[in-house]
Amino acid sequence: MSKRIRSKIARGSGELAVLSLLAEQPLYGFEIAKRIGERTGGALNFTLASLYPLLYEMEKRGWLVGYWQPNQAGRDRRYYRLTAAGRGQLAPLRQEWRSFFQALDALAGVSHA
Amino acid sequence: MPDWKKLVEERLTTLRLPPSAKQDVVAELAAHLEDSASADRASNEPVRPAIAHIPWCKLANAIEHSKREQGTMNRRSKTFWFPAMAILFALGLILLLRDSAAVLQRLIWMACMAMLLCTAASEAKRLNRRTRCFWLPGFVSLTAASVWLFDIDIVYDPSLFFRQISLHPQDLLRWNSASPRSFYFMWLIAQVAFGALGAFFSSRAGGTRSARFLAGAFPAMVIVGTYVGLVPITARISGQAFTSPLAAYLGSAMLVWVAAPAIAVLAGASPFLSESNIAR
Repeated sequence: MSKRIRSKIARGSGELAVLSLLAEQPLYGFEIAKRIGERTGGALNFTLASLYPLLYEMEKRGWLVGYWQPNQAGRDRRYYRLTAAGRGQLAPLRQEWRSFFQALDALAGVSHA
Repeated sequence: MPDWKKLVEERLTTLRLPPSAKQDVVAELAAHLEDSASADRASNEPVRPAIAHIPWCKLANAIEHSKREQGTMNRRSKTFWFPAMAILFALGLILLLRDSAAVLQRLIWMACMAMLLCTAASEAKRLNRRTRCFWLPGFVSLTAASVWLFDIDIVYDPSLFFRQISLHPQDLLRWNSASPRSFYFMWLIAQVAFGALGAFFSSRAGGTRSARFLAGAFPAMVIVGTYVGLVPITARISGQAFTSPLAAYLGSAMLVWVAAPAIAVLAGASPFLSESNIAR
């Protein structure tokens, strides 16, 4: 994937991207953005302005818990980890996106484009 | 190395949050910019003037919107759910304290309370964090406690409990007294289950350790407030006398109504208080 996905589409997928990453291990904001960029080959790119409101919103919903902890370099960073409620959101959200892609594929033949 | 915190703080002047929450946001964003600059330097790329490209005003609004109502009840909870639960619980308590309340009335109250809790739980996604992690689990545990009190009331006379244990808690500590000791111990043992119930629901909603404990301790806190606070006042007004000095009454009341239930609640809530439990 070389082309960057437009911000509106990327924003919609943000919850799933963050939940999927944090299901593996707790991470702090910069690491979350970096890993999303790396794993999607730069197609999804979360900036500071798009990432933190999303993280705070998910924290408010009780899907994530933030806590300060030193990183490997010994600097204090605010890590996020999934709560049981957040973990519970992951499977339905994945299913929702799967259904969305199937619907879009049936409509616009996305997978053959 | 720029002072990232100062730079962020200067640009987030429009962010209206409580000081501690704002400091947290500033520190977090500053850390992100610092990491970003370090990464650019490490890859021998020119350090991008990232700070100049950030829409700070828009970001402040977005953060404010994301954080709003965190730590306080939202409008719907404040104006509907909390008063509705409080009224229903108060009605139930009145029924409990009145010997004349018919079993049918009590069952209706329990059904209403259960329906209200189920409806509130179904709206849990829209509730804010404190309501979801503390008030809702607290009311679930309180309802269970009320149902339990209704239940044991069939076997024991609540007025006996009200008169003897509330006004003379020290009687419980005397082995040969005629105090309804079994009533009290049934209530006390049940606190273990209520502590577990409240802490479990709070833990499911992502509550902090203190929120989980308080949600479990909710019924005990209400009972403590009622009996330690209201009973002596009511007794004074109605002319009922304490049989012992006030200090002895308060000492026994603290032990019987505060320390013992707190230990029971803690025992019940303890499986849900560990850090690993939050991260499940």
